[in-house]
Formats: sequence, C-alpha cells, structure tokens
Amino acid sequence: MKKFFFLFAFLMAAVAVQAQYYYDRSKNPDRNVKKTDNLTGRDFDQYFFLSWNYSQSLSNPNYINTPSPLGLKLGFRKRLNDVDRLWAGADLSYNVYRQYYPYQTYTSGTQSTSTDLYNYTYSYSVTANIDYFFLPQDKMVVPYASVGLGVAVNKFAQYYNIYGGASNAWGVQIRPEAGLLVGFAKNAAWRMKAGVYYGYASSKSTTYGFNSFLNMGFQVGVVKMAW
Amino acid sequence: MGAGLVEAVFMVAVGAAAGNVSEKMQNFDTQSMCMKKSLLAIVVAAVFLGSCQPKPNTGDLLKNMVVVTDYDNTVDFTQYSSYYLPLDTLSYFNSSDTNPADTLAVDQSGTGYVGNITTRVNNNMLAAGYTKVGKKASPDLKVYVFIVENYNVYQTYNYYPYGYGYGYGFGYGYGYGGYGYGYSSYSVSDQANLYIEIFDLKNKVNGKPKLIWYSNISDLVSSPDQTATTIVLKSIDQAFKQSSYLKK
Repeated sequence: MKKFFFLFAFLMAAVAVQAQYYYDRSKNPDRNVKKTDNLTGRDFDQYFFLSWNYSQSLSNPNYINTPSPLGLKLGFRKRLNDVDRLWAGADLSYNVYRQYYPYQTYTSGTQSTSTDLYNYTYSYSVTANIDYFFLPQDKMVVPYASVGLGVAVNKFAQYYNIYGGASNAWGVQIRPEAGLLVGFAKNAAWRMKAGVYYGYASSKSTTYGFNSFLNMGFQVGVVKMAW
Repeated sequence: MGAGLVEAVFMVAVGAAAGNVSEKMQNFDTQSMCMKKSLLAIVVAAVFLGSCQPKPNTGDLLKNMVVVTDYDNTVDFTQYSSYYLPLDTLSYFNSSDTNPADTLAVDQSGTGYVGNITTRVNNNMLAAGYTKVGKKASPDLKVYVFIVENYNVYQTYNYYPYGYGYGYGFGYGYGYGGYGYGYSSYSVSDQANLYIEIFDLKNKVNGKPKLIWYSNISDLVSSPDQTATTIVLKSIDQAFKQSSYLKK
C-alpha cells in the first residue's frame, strides 16, 4: 500500500506539472505579462511553503478529542495562466494526534481489565491543490481560497505498558482551505502564510470501528516566492 | 533571525528546491527542472515524515501494569470460608529454563520477591473475609500463584495444577486489547505475567477442583519494580479491587 501511496502522490503531482506546461504564460504567444518592474522587477509565478499546523480531530471523539500542535505541511504552487489568480500545486501534510487516558478499569462481560492508555493517530496526506487568489500577488496581503484532493493514510494506534496495537486506514482526502499570504513589502519574495482548513478523509478502520477521519485546524508558515 | 538564515532553513526543508529558484531561471526548461526537484523534495519529505511516528515515553508506559481478571459468574463466592495458600513458594515457568522440572521459586525469608507477592495476595484474601488454613484442614479454596516468563503472547500457557489439561474453564486471557474500540493485536517476545488463580475445592467437577477466578498481571520483565515492593503490589491490590464479587 505504501508503494501505491507514493505512486499516486507522484501521479497527482505530475498531472499538475503537465497542466502547468500548457498553461505557462512563457509559452503563450499572446501572453500579456503584467509589468511589475516598477516594484521589484520580479514576476513571481510559483512559490513553496512550509507551515505549522494546529488542528483538532473532529471524528471519533471517544478516541482522541484534544487538539494537536504536532503538524506540518509542505507544498508548492505554480500560476496556471495569465490571470494572476489561479494557481495549482501539491501539499504534503503530516499531523499526529494523541491523548492519554489515565488508569482505569474496563469491563466486558465477566472480564475486567485495568490499564492506562495512550491513543495515537498518525495522519498523512498528499493532495493536488487548486488555489484562487482574490488579489494580484504584488499586493502585500493576498487572500485566497483553496481546495485539495488526494490520498490520506491514517494510522490509529494504542499503547499500554509494553503492549500496543495499530490499524492503518487509507482513504480519499478532501481539504478546503482559506487564508492569506502576507508580505512585508509589495511583491515580497518571502511571505507569511496563514490559513484555516477542514479535512475529510474516508479512512475507515474496522479494527477500531472508525468510518472516517475529520479534522479542522489552522496553519502558519513561511512562503518563498519564485519565478 | 537574519534573512539569510531563514532562507537557509527553508532550503533544507524543501530539499533545496527553492534554492534553485533564482534569476538563473530564464527559460521553461530550467523551470521544469526546478519543478521536478520540487516533486522529488516532496517525495523525500513524505518518506521522512512517514517514518516519524512519535510514541509515548517508555517510563510513562511502565508506571502501571495491565491487570486482567475474569471469573465464573455461576459461582456464589460467599459460600466459601477458607483457603489454602503457601507463602514461601510460587510456581515459575520460563521457556528458556534448561531444567523444565524446576518450576518453583522459593523464599524462605518471606520478605523477598516471592514473599512480597504471596503475602500481598494473602492480605487481600483475608480482607475479602476468607480464612487462611493449612492444606490438611480441608480448605474450600486453593489460591495458586505462578509466574510465566518469556513465552510469546500468542502462545497460551495452559497449566492445570491438578493434572488434567483442558485448559481454563472460561476463556483464558491472551489477546485482550482495544478496550472498547475493537480489538487490536500485539506481539511481544519477552515478557512475564503474574497469575493468581482460585480453585474451588468444595464443589469439585468430576472429582477435580474447578477454576473460578483468575488474575493476569503484566509485564514483570520490563517493570521498574524489580523487587515487588511497589507497582507489583499495587497491581495485586487492583486485581482484588476490580473483583468486588470476590468476598465472603
């Protein structure tokens, strides 16, 4: 399944690259490149970002219901066409959710078991993304809306004493997002990224009785514009 | 933090992909190369993050033991009055033992590892209202304490001290897990379990004593309580505490 995961991720990214070739303005004889020489002389048409995610698992609250500061997202985007609004790319997202349940007794029938429990969810996803920017990129603050579609893998794990169990669940990931790119000067090469997102993954675990994995969170990161 | 340092950190994070984005990129071929590197960086990052799975601290995990108890719910535990329990010995089974016949751990002082365990079991039986008697005084119950070490958890260790081997009457204990979230599996190659069993000598089945209660406490091997003075004793108390039906 891991091979399938990476092959699918690579395929999604390759499709995005191919689309960019056909939509790249440098190949368009009718291009009308916006003049930005009066600003920095740079016409950014791609960017890369690394962000920190703070998120809350919304599904299966009896398993984990505490927010997680342990999350990262890495991604890139490339402008699709002359209009400085539509960008496409890919995200790699990583989150770990964990919750400690103090020592207590669980009874089932005539059997009782006492232990403390550490519940973990490891969440990974690779998505192909389309971003729409509501203002040109040469502005200092550029709001955007985005949607990502891809593959998610969730590993649900429990640890107690020397024992542990885990279940891997794969599914389709859909993640709408909205946020801002904030530069500290007009047409800045380095910017901040802040956004909120909602994630749905169809990851199903029969072992734990989970039908999906939902999360919501915000991200803050750094963006490197390029051309 | 200076801009140069920020950029350097970012270059590492994205696999140097952004580092190639510079004024040198004047044509699409160069851009395409950059994009391929970006994709490669993401794949590399995916592999890295995929292998990054934090787990609980081992010290935290071992602060408490897992205590499992089960009983025969057709039995009225108030009908019993007396029990027999040797305090100076317990049975000890180790798969790596070179002498299979050597199955006893003896503690003449009564204050060592064995003595601490049997004494605590005895105290809990007394607290439950039962009376300790000698083996020849026709006790109603026999309390049998033993340790099984170094057996794979998927191997059930069926031992019946009275000589017939149908195993345990009501679903002996390996394979627990999940605790309300389904059933997970685990594999452990070296561990030790402390078992406490109570047999009915008063109402024998086909002339044989009947197992009516047991407790399985683990893991002894990895526990920081190697002298059975704290965590092990607390776990024995827990076994009786979660078996409130076990009283005179």
